[in-house]
Formats: sequence, structure tokens, C-alpha cells
Amino acid sequence: MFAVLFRSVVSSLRNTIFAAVEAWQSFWFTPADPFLLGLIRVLTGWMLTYNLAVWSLDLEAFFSADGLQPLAAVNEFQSGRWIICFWKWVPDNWMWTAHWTCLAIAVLFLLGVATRVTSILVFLITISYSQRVPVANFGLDQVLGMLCLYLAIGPSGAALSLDAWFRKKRLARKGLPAAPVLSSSARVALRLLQLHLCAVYFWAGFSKLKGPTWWTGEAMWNVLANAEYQTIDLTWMAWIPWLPFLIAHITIAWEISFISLVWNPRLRPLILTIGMLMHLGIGAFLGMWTFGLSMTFGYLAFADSAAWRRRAELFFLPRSKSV
Amino acid sequence: MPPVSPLLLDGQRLSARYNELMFLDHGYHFFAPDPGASTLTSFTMQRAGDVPLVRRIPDIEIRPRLLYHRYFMLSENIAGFPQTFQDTVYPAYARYFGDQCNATTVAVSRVLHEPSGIIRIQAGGQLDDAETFSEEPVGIYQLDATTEPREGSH
Repeated sequence: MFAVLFRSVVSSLRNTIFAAVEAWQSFWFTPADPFLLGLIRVLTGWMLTYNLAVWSLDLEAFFSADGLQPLAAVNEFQSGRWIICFWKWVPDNWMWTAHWTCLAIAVLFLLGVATRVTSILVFLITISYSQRVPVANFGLDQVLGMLCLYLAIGPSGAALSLDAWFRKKRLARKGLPAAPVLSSSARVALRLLQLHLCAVYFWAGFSKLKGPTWWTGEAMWNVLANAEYQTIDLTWMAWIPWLPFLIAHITIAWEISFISLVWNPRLRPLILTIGMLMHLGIGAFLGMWTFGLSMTFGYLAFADSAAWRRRAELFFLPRSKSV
Repeated sequence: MPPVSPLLLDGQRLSARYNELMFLDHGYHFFAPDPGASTLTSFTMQRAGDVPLVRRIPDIEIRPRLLYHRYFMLSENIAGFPQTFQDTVYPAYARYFGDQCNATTVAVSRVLHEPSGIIRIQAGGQLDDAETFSEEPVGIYQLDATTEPREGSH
């Protein structure tokens, strides 16, 4: 009797463990279409190129050894930390050469040329710029670093790239069909990006809970009525004060619940739509289009790759079958 | 962001090297815990034989908006850095802006711009009313080779 019960428990436990292992393997390693990674690469590459182009307008002020961020002070501040920053080894007279090289690599990454190499270089470039000017950083730098890291891990050049176009030409010459190759590393990169976004929103919401004004709702008014951020006058909200209070409460609830609700297929469109509206609002009303848009690029990691591929094929890509 | 338990601090230390290396050591504390006053930086520049020139960052004239935001962050973020770092960086700001207009001396101030409350706006106030600004001197810097503070900062 006891032996039967024991065998039953062991069998049940074994099945549970096997199911968990299988679910884990499926979650992380089920081969995925790299199309979404390609799309995120194009958008991130565009933003990164713009970011670097804007640095060109005041490069010497920010990046020279005796500029607004003196190299000695930054080195001292970062001493003892493990920092990747090629800028620390670039003498001032090589600054422009280094910068144009970085800009060229960013363009190659955007176009998807030698993406296995350029994706890694672009990640190193992105974090090097950010680490060299720590005081000038803001959310955009954090988001670009995150996106570039996962684009370097996954096959982000396998779709919507010149790499893919050349591959297709090579295969066509051999008479082979140019079907997109599903890949486990694409799945890993997309999963990491999804989980990272969950962490970003969870901590963004959780840290707001420490502030009394987020509980009273005044925080959103304080953001919207901040003259240094504001690009459109929103002081009319003073006559309907419940509106900024409501936006504050929705923001907190949405940020904290994103981590759980986004995994529900039925709720996902709603959760991502709210996020899109929030980030477009950050762009339109607070003047941070670069940050707002970059956050939404990551949302593509939650998208249906087949649907997005169909949309792309409808407009500009030749129809293809996955293998 | 405090308060934090020793257990979480140990966990943070465990992953610190990886996070630093991968540029992942951010708390993502956007507008948290409370969005309060903006921090601006004001420069009063004395020029030989000329009237003093006052400049403030961020300057809305800076275009494009991303570059404006970089300058805004120079002003907004600096207070969160260690004092020794600030003591080196503020003179660098003074030198950079002073050199642009051949200033001999630059007085640097930190300017706090409090957001106007709902009641103030309802009563006819504006976001940039003078009483929403408060100024705190940082230092006066002589623009020579070393750009040392002429008077003690803070």
C-alpha cells in the first residue's frame, strides 16, 4: 500500500519536473522567425544613428578630455567599476575619426551589413558613448543599451537586411529557395527583451510607490507642469484636476501589472496599447520622442512575427515560406 | 534607491560586475520617487570692459530637442553625483561657457525651478513665475589655466 503510494508520488513528481523542463525549453528555445528582431534592428539602428548624428553637433564639448565631462573626473568616478568605454583611449585629435567611424558602423547596422559583427560593435559603441558622459545620460541611453545588447545576442541581421538580401541572391544562383530560417537564438533574444521590459516597468512602477505624490496623484501634474520638459502647454488641466490624478493612478497600475498581464494573450494588445499611448505622450508632451519611441521598439518582441511578416510582404517583401 | 535591505544589497553586489559591464546598472526610476523641481544651472560671466552676461542651461533655444535634453541632464543629474566629482565638473562647465564669450570670471549657481501647483495656476500663475525659482551659489571661477574656484564653493 505504502509502496504504491510512494510510486504514485514519485511518478507525479517526475511528470511535473519533466513538464516544467519541457515548458522551460519551449519558452526559451522554440525556434522563432528572426523577422521581428530584424524590424527592431532597423528601428534601433535608425535611432542610434540619429543619436550619434546629434552628438556630432557638440562632440568636442562633451567628449574632449577637458570638455564638459572632464575625462579625469569621469575616470575617478568610475574607478573600481567594470566599464566598457573605448572613448577613454581616444586622444582628442582622433575624436572626429572615431566618431565618424562609429556613425558609419551604426549605418551599416541599420542597413544590416555584416550584422553579426556590426551588432556587437554597435552595442560596444552605444555603451561607450553613455559611459563617457555619465551626467548627460537619460532614459534613451538605457533603452538603446538594452536593445543593442539583445540585438547583438540574436540573429538581428537575418531579416530586413542587406545580409539577408545577399544570402537570398546566393541561394537563388544555386537554384535553392530563400526561406527564412527559424532560430533558437532569435527566440532567446526576444525572450530576454520581453523579460527586460517587464523588469523596466516593474521597477519604474515600484520605485514610484516610494513617492507620496504618486499616491496622491499630484506627481503627474508635477511632470506635466514642468516647464523644462513641457513642449505643449497642458496647464488647462488645472481646471480638470482629476485628469492628471487619474493618469497618475493608471500609470502606476499599468507599470506594476505589466509584468504579469502582458503574458496574457487576450490582455496583451490592451497592455501594449496603453504603453504605446504613454510613450507617445512622453514624446509629444515632454519632448522626449527619442526615449518614448525607443521604448515602443521593444514592444515588437511581444508581437506576432507571422502577422508582421505578412504585413511586410504585403508592401515590400517577396512572399516566403519558413523552414 | 533607499530604503533597502542588506540582503538585497548583497544580491546587488553579486550581480554588480555583470551589470556594470553590460551597462545594465540602472534602477529605471523614471520620475521616481517624486517628480519635483527641475535643476538648472546659471552662469554669470564677467567680461573685461563689458556688461556681465547671464546664461542658463537648459536653454530652450538649443536644437534639436535631443541636444537640449543632453544639456538639461548636465544640469539636472549633476547634483546626484559625489561632491568630489561636482567640484571638478562645475569648473569645467564654467570654463566651457566662459570661453564662448571671453569671460574672465564665471559665477555658477544651481537654480531650482519648482513646478507650479494646480491652485497657483487656477489663481492666474504661470509656470515660469519668478517666485518658482530659487538660486543657490555653487562657486565663482577665474578663467585661467587651472580654472580654480576664486571663492569657496558651497
